[in-house]
Amino acid sequence: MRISTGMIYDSGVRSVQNQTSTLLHAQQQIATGRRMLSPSEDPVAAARALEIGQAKEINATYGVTQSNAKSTISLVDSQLSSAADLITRVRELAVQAGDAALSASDLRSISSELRAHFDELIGLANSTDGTGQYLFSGFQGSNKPFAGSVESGVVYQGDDGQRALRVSSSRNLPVSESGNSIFMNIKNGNGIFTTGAQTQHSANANSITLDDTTVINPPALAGTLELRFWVDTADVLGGGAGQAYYDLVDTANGNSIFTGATSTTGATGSYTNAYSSGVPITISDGAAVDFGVTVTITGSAQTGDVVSLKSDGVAVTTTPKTLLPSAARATIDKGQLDSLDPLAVFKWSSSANSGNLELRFWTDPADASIYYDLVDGKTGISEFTGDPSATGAGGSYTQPYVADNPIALASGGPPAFDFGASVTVSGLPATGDVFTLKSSTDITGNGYFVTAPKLTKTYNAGTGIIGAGEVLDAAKWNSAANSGKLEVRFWNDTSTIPATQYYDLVDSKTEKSLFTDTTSTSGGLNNTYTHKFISGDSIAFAGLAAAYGDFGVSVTISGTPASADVFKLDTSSSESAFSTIGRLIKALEAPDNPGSNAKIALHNELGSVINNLDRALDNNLMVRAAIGSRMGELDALDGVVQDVNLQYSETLSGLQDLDYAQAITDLTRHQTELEAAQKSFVNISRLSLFNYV
Amino acid sequence: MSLVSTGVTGLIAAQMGMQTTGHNIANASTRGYNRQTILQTTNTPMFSSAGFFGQGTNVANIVRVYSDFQSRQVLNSETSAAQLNTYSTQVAQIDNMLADPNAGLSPAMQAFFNAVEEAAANPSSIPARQAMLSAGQGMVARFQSVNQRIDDIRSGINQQIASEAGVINSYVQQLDDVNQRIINAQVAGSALPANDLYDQRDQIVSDLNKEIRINTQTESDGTVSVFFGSGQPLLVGSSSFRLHAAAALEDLTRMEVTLQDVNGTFTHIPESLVNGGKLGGLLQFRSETLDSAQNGLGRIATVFGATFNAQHQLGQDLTGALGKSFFSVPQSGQLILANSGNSGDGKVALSFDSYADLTASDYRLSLTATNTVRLTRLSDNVTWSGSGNNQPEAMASLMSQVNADEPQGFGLTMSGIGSMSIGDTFLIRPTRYGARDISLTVNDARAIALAAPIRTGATVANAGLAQISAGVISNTAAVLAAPVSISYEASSNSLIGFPVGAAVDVAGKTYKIDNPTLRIPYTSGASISFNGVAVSITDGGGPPADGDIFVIPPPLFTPLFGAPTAVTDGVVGSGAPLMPLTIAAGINDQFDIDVDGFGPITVTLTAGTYTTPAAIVTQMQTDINTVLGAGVVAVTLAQNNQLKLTSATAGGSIALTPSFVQTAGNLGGGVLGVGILSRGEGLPATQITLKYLQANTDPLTNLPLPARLTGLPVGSVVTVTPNGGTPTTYTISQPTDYIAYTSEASIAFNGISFSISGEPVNGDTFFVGPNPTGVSDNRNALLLGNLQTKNTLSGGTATYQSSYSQIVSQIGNKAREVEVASKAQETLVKQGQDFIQSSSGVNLDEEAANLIRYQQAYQASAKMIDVASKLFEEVLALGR
Repeated sequence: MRISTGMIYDSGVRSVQNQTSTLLHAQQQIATGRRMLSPSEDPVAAARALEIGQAKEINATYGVTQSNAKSTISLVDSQLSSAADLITRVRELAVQAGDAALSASDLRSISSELRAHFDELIGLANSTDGTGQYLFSGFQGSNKPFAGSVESGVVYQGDDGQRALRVSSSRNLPVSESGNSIFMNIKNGNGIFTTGAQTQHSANANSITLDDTTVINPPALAGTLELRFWVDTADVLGGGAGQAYYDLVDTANGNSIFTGATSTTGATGSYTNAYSSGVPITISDGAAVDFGVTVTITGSAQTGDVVSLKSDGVAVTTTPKTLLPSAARATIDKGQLDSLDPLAVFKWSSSANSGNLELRFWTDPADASIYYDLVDGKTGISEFTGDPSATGAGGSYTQPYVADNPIALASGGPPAFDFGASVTVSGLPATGDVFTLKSSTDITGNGYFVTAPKLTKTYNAGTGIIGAGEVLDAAKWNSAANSGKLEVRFWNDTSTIPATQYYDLVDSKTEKSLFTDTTSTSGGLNNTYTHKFISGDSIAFAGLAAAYGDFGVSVTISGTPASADVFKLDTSSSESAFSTIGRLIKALEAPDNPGSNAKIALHNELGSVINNLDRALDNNLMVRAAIGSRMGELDALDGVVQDVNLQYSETLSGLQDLDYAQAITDLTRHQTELEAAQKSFVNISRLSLFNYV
Repeated sequence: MSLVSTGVTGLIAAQMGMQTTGHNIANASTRGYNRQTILQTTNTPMFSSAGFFGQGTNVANIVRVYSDFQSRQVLNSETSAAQLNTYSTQVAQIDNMLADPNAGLSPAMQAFFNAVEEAAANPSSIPARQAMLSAGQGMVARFQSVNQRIDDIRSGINQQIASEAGVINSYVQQLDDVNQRIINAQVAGSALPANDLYDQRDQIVSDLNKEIRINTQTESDGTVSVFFGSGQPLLVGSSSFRLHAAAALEDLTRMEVTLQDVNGTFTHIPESLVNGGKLGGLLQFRSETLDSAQNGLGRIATVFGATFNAQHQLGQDLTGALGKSFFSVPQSGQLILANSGNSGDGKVALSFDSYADLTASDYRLSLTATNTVRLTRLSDNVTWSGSGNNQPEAMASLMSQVNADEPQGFGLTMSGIGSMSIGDTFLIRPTRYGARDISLTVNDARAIALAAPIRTGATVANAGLAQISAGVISNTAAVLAAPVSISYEASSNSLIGFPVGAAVDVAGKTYKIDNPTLRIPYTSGASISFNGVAVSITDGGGPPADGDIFVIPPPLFTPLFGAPTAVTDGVVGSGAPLMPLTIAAGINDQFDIDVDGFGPITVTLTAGTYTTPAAIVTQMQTDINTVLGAGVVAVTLAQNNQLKLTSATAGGSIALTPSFVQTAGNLGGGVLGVGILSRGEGLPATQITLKYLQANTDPLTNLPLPARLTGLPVGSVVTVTPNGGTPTTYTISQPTDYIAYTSEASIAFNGISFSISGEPVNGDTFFVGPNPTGVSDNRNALLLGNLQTKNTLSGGTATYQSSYSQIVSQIGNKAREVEVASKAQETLVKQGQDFIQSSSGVNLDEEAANLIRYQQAYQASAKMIDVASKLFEEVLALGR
């Protein structure tokens, strides 16, 4: 082939340039340690390296989160372990307090130690993590979760939120437990039901319920009769103060069927038939009028209760006109601050408000109108008059009550007060019914105060002590027939010597004996206290009336209960550890109650408290077990993170990193090649015929 | 005598030979020079009796050693090589930038998500939140800087196109000159070529060919004409055309090539016609790689911003407010470019329907015939078209076609104002500006929404062990789903019956409804808003009478999530109707439609139960047509079953409000008006308490009742989906309505879902309520962090990172492909050039030999004359 001189130079320069560029590339690879200097050198690997790089970084983040999680969980665990020690010590003290030989001052000294433990437990429950966030307040890390005292009780101000951290791609690991689940939400009693002697009950009157109506023969006439009730509070009829009586009134003319005259209450009135819960009432005047109808009413009747019987000439319909379906006669809502009033919060928290108010009711016997008074529960002073609360003419029960209308906690005139709030009472309150309105920030209330029927104390007089009870079949306990509010009631038949003790099992919601499914009555006709009591024998809630069947539990009562003593079985609810310790302290510090056997009351209370402390310990252990398993999970995950990290690093290195041995060999080779190209070019270019011309 | 003359011919020939050799030697390094040789022939012999006597020699021609075929091949290779080389140089700029461990997007994105995780671990920590903001700013800046680099390259290309045009014009001018000189030089005819001028001309052609691929045509007079593309002239005879860089009609920021003819008229040259050479390389790089890289990046930014915002807006910030947008993403207005050559005045609006379906392509919309529009996806030239009775209808039909075929993630609507002319085009770039326009809208560390806006719990006193799960928020938009009845109470001059859990705003005051009997004072005409609806009750013929009932129907349309209802350009953004949708006469069958701003007209929908969105669309269209006439309003179904109403009236826009209904038999004169609110109104404002009731027998009806939950807000529609079962829907129309209880079933209403598991005991209560002071709640932060690994792009198949990797891989592959092709092309060029050089190139050794040869020939000829002279002298001497 013919070669032009230009070609010699061109190709010489070109080859030197190519070699130099290859050499430079190798040098840059070595200098940067990267196999690819730009993605175009290996686009697939470059894209893959980006993705694996991200995966590796994410994995590293999991590693960091895991160690965060571990430290938080360890902190929670150590606090919980301290709490468990504390509760164990409290339990020891409770057992110790059961020693019958201890004097009141001994109990006092135990209680003062308990008070210290109580505060210690609140301190533990309010512990914070390293950043000042409360550990046990759910999502509300900056809110102190627990506040309160033995006296006022402890309320939880956090929520049920469980903080979680992402510790792996598919796992959000919970790292906190809400204070609710640790300290508050503890099943009491034996986990299914609680036992105890009666300690307090609502003074508010119970309602009556219409049970059944039996129509024996069809009514002769169309019309409406009313069965009206009146409570003889002043004992003008001599049947005992508080005895209820009823009248049968023809609504067409307002006349009593019994007397034929206008229906009136009082000593000479027409309300002459004594009412007894659960005893069928025959609607008849005994002579001229006979509807052939029998109605059964249970519960305690109050003045103003009306059952309407309407006949259309063929059938009779009975309607409880003023009866309410709930157990309480009147109910109160949770109340609210005046949302229209921007100053409502200040008004409620003003110093004029003791934060311990009572809404008291009174039925004026003159016209059966219901009035209420707002009373400072501490001083007994009526807010309306500024004088001690008093009923009757000139008294402080001046405000007429209208069901379901909001009752403003404010006065229209002097003495002026305005608490900026209102509550709504429904139903028919009876004389003496009291609702308390106590300042509280409980989230289940309205956030400012809590409303409740006022509770009063009553104690058993006998020496009966109830055990924790046994659950034979939990499913039976949860049957629909069980109201969950059961009582073992005692009655002493003093006609025998020595007196024979009988007991009845009662559903306290319906007041019916579980044995007979009729209203529980002691002695006399329809007596339902038919089971003989033997101390220490287990009382089985089995073999009950057909409507109830078998509740699958039994309790043991030992000692000698007195007549009218009551032991209660309630479906387990939740009780906070603070409330349990508080109850223990209050029981130890309680003065002897008149008419009660203080030691026995203490014993019954201690039994219940120890039960609950055991539940609290169980709960604590359960939570810690969950935490422990999370720790285990974290340990396992840590290994995974390390492994995965290594794997990603290797892959990434394979994609990106330079093989130095190879690269240096290449560099040397390219260098030699460049030198050869340079040298050969110089040699060739030197050749020319002109040198010889 | 003849010997002398023969000698002289030899002398002259040798002289010419040496002249040519010398010319070759002198031009050994001249670019484009082809060696020349003399064509030496014998003179015509003289006849004699002895035969023919040679008369010496002459030089017939000076020949250029040149192969036209070879040259054309090399030209072809060279123009491709120049194109590939330019492409390769350009693509290397972004290739290096994208995957750079420091400059690329990946590290910034990773740093941002690391900061999200850090904030999730310490949701109440201001420093951790601030770090998240800073990382967000860093990532936004990285998006913008990568985009800026692309923009810089883009404007560099614009400049280069202009300078390329100048270079090409200058070459064409030079060619014209050389052509003229060739004509002048070759007066003797083309048999004696002007070799050196030919070389010059070929060199200019070669240089021009490296700028743009050209075709040459050699004319009979020796000149060449030059064409490019599919025959566009640059030089014909002595008329030269000029190339210019000019802004594209579709996009005034994009330079393209125009050709100016001799009359001075400009013609835009489509990019497809400009290929080869540096100019071809630049244009190919821009349309093939740069645009898709920028769109791809913009798509990540747009989707990132939008998806992050959507989750962020479901959360609650440190101050207890609902989350706002975290990023700002491009708004629709700037994403559509009307061709500056459009003769119509039609306007087109774009809305994003589904971010996952967005592609990285640009689109072109054109009116191809009266009321027929065509949408072309420019990346692969897939087209869709739609037609109707008018242009808005045609557009609606087009979008239905697109959505039925392959959703592109955006919707187009046409304004009733103005209309397009046939041939009008719009350039649609849904993703081009994403990376440029993304920015951080949250500036306050407290405003990062890391918590969930609701919390759930079980009441402590519950006897059962059932647990309620933490709630999940899927929607905070307006949610009233079933009618709510409000009644007027004259004694207290108030309204009663609002849903529990709602916050009712009346004239600037908020009432939190925590029990069903809470009353709200009545003021005539005051706006009362709750649960996504705004109502007002006005004294009509007089005040309402005691016990009058006003039924507030659920809105037929709920506003688009996260954005206010857009009514510009005649489009009503609207949410998906709940299916099945029951239209009840007198309850929710009316709505007011204001087509042209001249007042609402009431349309009554045919009552019935509609099970599919398509059915309601058909019925609504029929009912609207009945009132307004056909062609006034088009009802269509956008993506996600959203209803869209489009006005076809010139100057019209649609305002749509559900009309009111009120129970017949009201005695008073109160008149109810209803409007729709937007986001945030659906969440419970106060705690909703759910109560579990065990299975029993209804004392009134003696019918069995199941285990159930009561307390759900009035007006909500609750969907209960048992674990792995089929959903059941309950409409809660009064406080005592209930849903059947199933353990672990998902209970969803008002955009909230949760489940209750375990065995509750009769009377147990659970609550769902707002989450004030939930500063340690990181639920939303975890969900935000999840987005990093969630497939949000490419129809739900790619994460942000994998989408970015895809761009890197795409660019890298292209760069590699072009580089390899460029190298191969260089080799071809070299081979071709070597081949030409091997015949046409000057070899100095050869020339040295030639020089000696001609020298010797000259010496020999001189000797011949000398001999002849001596012979003559011999003859003369004889005579002396």
